[in-house]
Order: sequence, then C-alpha cells, then structure tokens
Amino acid sequence: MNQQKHIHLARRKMSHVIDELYTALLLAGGKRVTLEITKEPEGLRLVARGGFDEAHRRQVERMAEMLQPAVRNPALVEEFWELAGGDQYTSDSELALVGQMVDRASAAVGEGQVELDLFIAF
Amino acid sequence: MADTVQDGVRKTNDRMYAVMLGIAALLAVFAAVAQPDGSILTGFWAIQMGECGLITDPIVTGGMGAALLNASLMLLASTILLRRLRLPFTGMSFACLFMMAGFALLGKNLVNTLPILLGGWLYARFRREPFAKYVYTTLFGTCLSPMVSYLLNHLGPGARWGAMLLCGAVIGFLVPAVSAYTVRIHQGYNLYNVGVSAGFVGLGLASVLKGFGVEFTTETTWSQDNGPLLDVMMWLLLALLVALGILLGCRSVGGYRRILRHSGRSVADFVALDGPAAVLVNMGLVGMIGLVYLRIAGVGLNGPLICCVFAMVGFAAFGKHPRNVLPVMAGAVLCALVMGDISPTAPGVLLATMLCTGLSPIAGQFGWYWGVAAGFLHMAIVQHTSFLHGGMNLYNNGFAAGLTCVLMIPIIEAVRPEPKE
Repeated sequence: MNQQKHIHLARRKMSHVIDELYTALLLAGGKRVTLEITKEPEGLRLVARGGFDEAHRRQVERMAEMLQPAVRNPALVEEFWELAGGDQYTSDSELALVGQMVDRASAAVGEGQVELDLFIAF
Repeated sequence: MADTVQDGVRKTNDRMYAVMLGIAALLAVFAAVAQPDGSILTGFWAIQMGECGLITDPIVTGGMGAALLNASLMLLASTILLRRLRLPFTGMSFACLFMMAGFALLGKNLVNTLPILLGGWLYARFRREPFAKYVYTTLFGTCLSPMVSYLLNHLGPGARWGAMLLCGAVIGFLVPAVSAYTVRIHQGYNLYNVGVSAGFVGLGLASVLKGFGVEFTTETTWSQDNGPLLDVMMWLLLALLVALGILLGCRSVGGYRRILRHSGRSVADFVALDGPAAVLVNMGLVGMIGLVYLRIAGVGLNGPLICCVFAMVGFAAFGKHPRNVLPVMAGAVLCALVMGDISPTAPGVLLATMLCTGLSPIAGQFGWYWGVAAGFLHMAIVQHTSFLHGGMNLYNNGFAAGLTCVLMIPIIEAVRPEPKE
C-alpha cells in the first residue's frame, strides 16, 4: 500500500479508537475526558486523560491491561477493526480489539485519574 | 520483564502449535485404523477430485479412513502455514484451524483450497501487505471451495483446470475485502463472519456463472452406521483437550468461570484475554455439548456432524462457551420441533442446530431469551439460503446467521434500555 493509503487507514482506525475510549471512560464515571491527537512523522498519537469513579477502578485497570496486550495479532485486526466503537455496548472484547489495533500503548492509572498514550503507525 | 513476557508468549505459541500437530497426528492414526488397506489412497484421491457441494459426506466418497486422512492433512498444512507466517497463536488460530480440519469432513480438500489460497496471496500482494494479515480470512474463505471442485468436474478437459484456478483465485481475492465490510453488518454478533462474506461472494459468482450457462447443483450424501470408531476418536480428543487445560493450570472452577463472563461478541479472543488453559477446558466442554446433543437425538457420527462439533470446539476459543451456546441451540431445536416441515434429525437441520451457535454472542450480550429467539429464527432462515449460492458455500449457516443478525440486532437495540452511566 502506498503511504497515502496507510495515513488514511491510520486516521480511520484512530477515529474508531477514540469512539471506543471516550465511551469507556464516560461509562467509568468520568466527568471530563481530554483527547489530544498529534500527527507525527511515523504515525498518529492519541493521549487521552480522564477522571473515573473509584467504584469503577477494576474496569479502568482492566482497560489499561487490555490496551497493552502481550501479543498483537495483525490478522485479527485486519478483519475486525471496524467493530471498535460505534455502538453503545462497550465491553472487554472491544477494548481488547483496540489494544490489538494500536501499535504501541502505555497507561497510567492514578487516583481517580487515568492517562492513556496510544500510537497507530502509518 | 519484557523478555520474560516474550518468553512466556513464545512458549505458549510453541505449545499450542504442538497441540494442533498432535491433533493432526491423532486424526491420521484413526484414519489408518479405520481403513488400513490401500483403499485409503484411492479414497483420498476420490475426495480430492470429487464434488463437494452442500451436503457431501467424504466418508461416502472415499471411506472413513480417507476422509480422516484428508482432515489430518488439511489441518497439518494449515498449521504449518500459520507457523511459517509467524503468527501468534491466539483463539482465532484455534477457530481457524479447527474449521479447516472440520470442513475437510464436509467438502474442503487440498486441491480445491489451493487456488483460493493463491487468490488471498495475490490480494495481499496487490495491497502490498504481508499475507499474514489476510491468512485467516483466506483460510476461512476456502468455504467456497465446492465452486472450484464443481468447475473441475463439470467443464470440458481443455477448460477445467484453468477455470478452477481462476475461480478459486477470484474467490480468494474478493473474500478478505468483503469480510472487513460484513463485520459491520452483524456487528460481531455472528462468529462466522466469513460465512456472510462468502455467502455474498458466492451469490455474486453463482449469478454471473449462471449467465454463462454454469448452473450449480448439489446432491446430498450422508453416511450412517459408521460404528463406534468416530465416537471413540471424538471423546478421546475432547477429553485430551480438557486434560491438557487442567495440566496447563486450569485447576479450579473459578479459573474456568473467567471464560463464562464474556459475552462472546467479536473480538472475544479467549486465549488472548484469559490464557490457553481455561480455553482448552472450554473447548472440550463445548464439544461435549455437541456430542451429547447428537447422542440424545439418536444420531450416529459422520463427516458433516464431526465437522459441526469441530466448529463448536474451535470457536470455543473465540466466543463460544456453554452459557451462550445452550440458549441458541435450544431455540433451534424448538423451531425444528414446532415447525411441521422440519425434522430435528434431518441432515440440514442437525447441521443448523450445531452451527447456529455462531449466534451465541446474542445470548451472551442480551440474555438467554434473545439467544433462544436467535436460534429459532436462524433455523427458519437457514432452510432458504442455500439456493442463493447454489449450495456452494460450506458456511451456509454462517451466511444465514448473518441475515438473522440483520433482522434481530436492530430490533433488540430498539427495545432494550440504554446502558447506565
């Protein structure tokens, strides 16, 4: 694929990731979610910051875990990435899909605050 | 730390690939026991060159040993392919490999799948991407292999090889592109996504070829009274999967119950989410549900029915578990019982009862009652979908499940309350 197509695809994937993440953060009791997207030479970076209700701590920690899987399966992403986001039933499986879709991820879960740093390469 | 994780991943990968090679060996051993004489080779050749539209039992075509040998070699070749492409072994790998082995007992063979693989490889070349990205969809796409076999058997000597090659390549080229689109149609509630895309590709190709005078027809072959050997093989295989899961660390009910909390909606890759131990136990248990149902129905095992059990087992690593498959199966059985013109033990109905479990995420996400409704509707719809692709899509139940989703999901979402924030 040429570079233009890679950029286009990364952009489309990122919009699905954003959809999934802000829904998950709002469902975790967050009142304010900040999303910052940067176009870097190698890809798109998303930094998401949000508060969450401590009652949902386990879900947020699970989300952080799923965004950083030990194994990324490119064949899985190719068929299913369009499932991320776009519906009202955000679940483990879709967050796990987001974890598969991004090329790099880090997550810091603090007291009532979470910061996610995700990168999708062109 | 990262190295430790990588070592763990590598070890799991190696073990799971070894499990699949072990299953291929098990099938080969039972093939040799079932047909110990030279007829296994002539039977194997007959399967490679024969027709295989819905529903063709290769045990009728070439004998039990030859059919199992075909399944063993298909599994071996597919496992080696995934390994050579250096793909991590996840739940999707289990699903894909079990479908390859299973559907080798309902139509797939080495000859009719190769042209489709070529098409998938050409698609990856066209996209300038590694073939590894499209290998699952291409392998699943071999469900349209009866079309390839049909052309091989029905065209003149001058055209048959070229036509089958071209047809297979077109299928392999189109299915990955269409599959990425069809997930949006069923929103991940149908585990057999390629069944939907292949159904549409099959519909298109069958319609075009009909215009050129090629009309697909199929004849059902269905073996009965195969004796206890297939039962022994299947119970042994499932028991081994459970035992291996226990050996790898799933030693408590709590360890296994982690699987049951998932709705099963794609992408529920149980191996990636919960590790392989509980998944192996789940695979064994879900397969046993299929076998017990067949025993209750009083039906003996044959090629197509083992295929169904394999499909259940494989997707028990990618969405299915007892809690979400039972309601859907119950709905399908209920439909077969109340509808006058459907016999619960007719070949197509048995296949639908087992394969409707592709809709198990509906039960997992929305509740058992919606699962029962989905199974019921699936059984009714699947009776009328095969003619659309001329019986050439081996995943006809996957196609029907996709159509069931199109009808059900919007209705469920319309009447269901919004999730709480």
